[in-house]
Amino acid sequence: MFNFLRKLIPGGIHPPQRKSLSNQNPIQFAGIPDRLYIPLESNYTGTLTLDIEIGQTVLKGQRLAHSQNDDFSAIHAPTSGKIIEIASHPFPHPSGMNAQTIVLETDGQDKAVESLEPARSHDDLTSDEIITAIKDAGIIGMGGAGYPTYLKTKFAQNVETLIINGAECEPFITCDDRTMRDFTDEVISGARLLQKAVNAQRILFAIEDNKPEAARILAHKLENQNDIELRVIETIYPTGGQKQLVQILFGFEVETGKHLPDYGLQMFNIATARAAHYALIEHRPVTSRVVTVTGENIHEGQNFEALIGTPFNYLINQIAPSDTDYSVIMGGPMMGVEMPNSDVPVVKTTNCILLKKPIKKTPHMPCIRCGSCADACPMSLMPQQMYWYAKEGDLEKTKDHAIFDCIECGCCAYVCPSEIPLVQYYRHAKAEIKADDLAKKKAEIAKQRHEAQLARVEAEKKAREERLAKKKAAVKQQHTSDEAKDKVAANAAAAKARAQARARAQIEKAKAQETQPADSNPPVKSRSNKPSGNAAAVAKAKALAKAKAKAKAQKKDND
Amino acid sequence: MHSSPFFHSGASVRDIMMKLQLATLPAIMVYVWLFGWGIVIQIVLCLITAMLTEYAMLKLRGRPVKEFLLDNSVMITAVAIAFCLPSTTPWWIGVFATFFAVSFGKHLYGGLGYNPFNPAMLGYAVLLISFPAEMSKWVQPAEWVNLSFLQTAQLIFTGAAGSITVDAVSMATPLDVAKTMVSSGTPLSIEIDLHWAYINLAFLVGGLWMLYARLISWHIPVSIILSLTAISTVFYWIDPTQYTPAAFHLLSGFTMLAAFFIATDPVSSAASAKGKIIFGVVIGLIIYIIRTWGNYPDAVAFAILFANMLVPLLDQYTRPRVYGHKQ
Repeated sequence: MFNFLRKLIPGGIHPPQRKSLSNQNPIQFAGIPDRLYIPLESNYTGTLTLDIEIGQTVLKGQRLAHSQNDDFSAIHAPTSGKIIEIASHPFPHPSGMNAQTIVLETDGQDKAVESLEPARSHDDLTSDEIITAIKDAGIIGMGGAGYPTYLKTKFAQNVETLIINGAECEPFITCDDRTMRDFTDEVISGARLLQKAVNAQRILFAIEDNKPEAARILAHKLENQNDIELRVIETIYPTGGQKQLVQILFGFEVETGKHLPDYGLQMFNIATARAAHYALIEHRPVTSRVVTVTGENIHEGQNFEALIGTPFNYLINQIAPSDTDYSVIMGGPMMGVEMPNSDVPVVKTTNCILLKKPIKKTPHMPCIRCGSCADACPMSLMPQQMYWYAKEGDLEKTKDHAIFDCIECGCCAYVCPSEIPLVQYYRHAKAEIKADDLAKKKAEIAKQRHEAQLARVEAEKKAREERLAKKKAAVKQQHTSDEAKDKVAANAAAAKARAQARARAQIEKAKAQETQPADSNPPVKSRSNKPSGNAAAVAKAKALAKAKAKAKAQKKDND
Repeated sequence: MHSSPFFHSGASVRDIMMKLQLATLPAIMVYVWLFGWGIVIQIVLCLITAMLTEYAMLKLRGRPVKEFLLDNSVMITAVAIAFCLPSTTPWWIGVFATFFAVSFGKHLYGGLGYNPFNPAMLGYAVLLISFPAEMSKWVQPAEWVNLSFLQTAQLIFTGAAGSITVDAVSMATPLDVAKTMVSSGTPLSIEIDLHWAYINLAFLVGGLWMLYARLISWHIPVSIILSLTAISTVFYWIDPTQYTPAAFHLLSGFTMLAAFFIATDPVSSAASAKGKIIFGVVIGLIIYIIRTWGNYPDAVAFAILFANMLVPLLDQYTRPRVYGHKQ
């Protein structure tokens, strides 16, 4: 009844879209630069094993490096040429640090590896084959997160609805918009393959209503496909966030700590779907992606099909910005990352190169607690309280205010009248908490070792005393000739032996604990209690043995 | 290197404060129309004092003077104090209250954003306690005593304009009258004073514009008005000869000024929606309690200061449910 009053998501903002700057022309191939810089790192860094050596000639699509484990995907040569260097090079990452990078001198031939296998069709492929091919083709989440698609498909079997995220809610970015318009068939084909990979019953395309052309083309192509639905959703930043999109499409929240497959859902980006099509049907690994090149001070932006490893400069020069004084952002204005320079290369997660007017650092005003940030927060957090605690360094309180639920979408900072860089404070607090937790864990292990050692020393000491006492008793008993007394002595000896065995067992246990305390993750409480618990057990065993011996001695006296 | 977001809405503290200031314009005009030029002189006095005090405090505290002096936040404090003063009050009363509000109420706590109490209400409360006589001499409506601008200025600065004294041109406010009647046991026969009704309506108009412009949220004004209406209606229904009706409370004294302009001060009010509602209800109830059974005819200052004290508690216990969390 009051549905019309209900907002799709709490909070959210309506920043200027600026999308028409770059979505007017079809995607263009950017060309082959003289050199490509292919970093050996990503957001989910693992150990990569090189498949090539310096000086080697490679063909387009040839594997350059692969991963021994699952946490990082393979990388392939984007074009043919010669590997001239593997060296440290600027790399698009928030840290601004360099990464080990393969430098490929291109030969302009663009000669591809000849596939031994024939082109495949959807019907030939099984779920397992698709998942394996996704891994081999080096597909990662191309919306920007870069999480290996292989893992997302592998751990989401029997999904009910597969969501293809075409919300593209950040201002300026239009690569998904153009991909949906220029590569509609590839996107749908890729979505079908991903559907098969996760055994989903249906597919749901979600697009913001600021992309009417893409929605129209998709709707047309999907007309007779009953198990694919297209949902055009209201334009509110950040609808493209996974949790927000689920809330908009299904009206429920993804519980903290749970994942989409727990709800029979899985979500992939438009560009990821397209990459899946090439990998599966045409045996083409990820060697290029669509990149929006746009900005505040430019006349017209453009979407390029750019080879992985293309320097940003190479693309920026093609749109010929009139003003050369700009900051380079990878991604959108809300969640993008400022680049140290424009030499950094395009990576698989580079959706947008945004030229921003130079950012001036102005001192911000104090928080006036106006609450605009809380109204804008799509996670219903209390940004001003979090800011307060983050600033004071009260990390416990920030945790208490659910700082780890912050998706860093930037809505709070966008609306803040005091222009406080709120997200920066949260990132800092999160990093500090993580560092603290690590330090605590280390300290806990050290403490545990120390306590275990104390318990062992104590137990050994007691056992030694016990042995001494028993020896004395035995010596005493040798002087008596009474048969009954002998019998009692035998009993006492047996009790002593039992007690000794028990004590020894305790010592062993304490030792074992001392040598391997770094067990997976037992709750802190039980950890610190264990050693003292052992000591108590030892003491108890001894008390029991003593009590028994005393009782027997009394019996003997009574006799 | 900067960190995202690189976009900003363009909202600024200075703009917000300026718009708040604009929203008081209808009330200022109605004041002038009904009670003469006194309010203008008082506003100027309070503004000058506020700016000088702000400047001095920023200098003493070693803060950037320009940014803070021009953030307009001190203006709203000065104007709010001026609204609470009888128009012909001696000049030093407003000056003293404003000085106290800006120095003690704001800067000694850390300046903009750090004051737990609403500075204007602190200043006003100090006046109510220190100079109750001056504060009760409300000037008579302009239709009865027509004072020229010059005469008003003379009254304010010298205490007399020719043969006219402050005492001669002032009278008790309706809230005073009601209180006196009730305490002397006279059955209430009170009509809503239209002058005060107009002033309250003028604040209401400004307030509604602020709601429309999203400068304030509805929670605090609505909960103040509803709680004040509810409690006064209940008692009026129990005994109309002893208790005043809801309309009287809403349209007398500084009810609307408090509800829309003072209690909504973000720095000293509760943060969450739920917290704001409780904050507003507390203010509405205390206004009624003090007006009805307390010693002060109007109670907005004390009601708001009391509610300010509850804010840390409210912020702690009225946090909204975070996405994906159970309550």
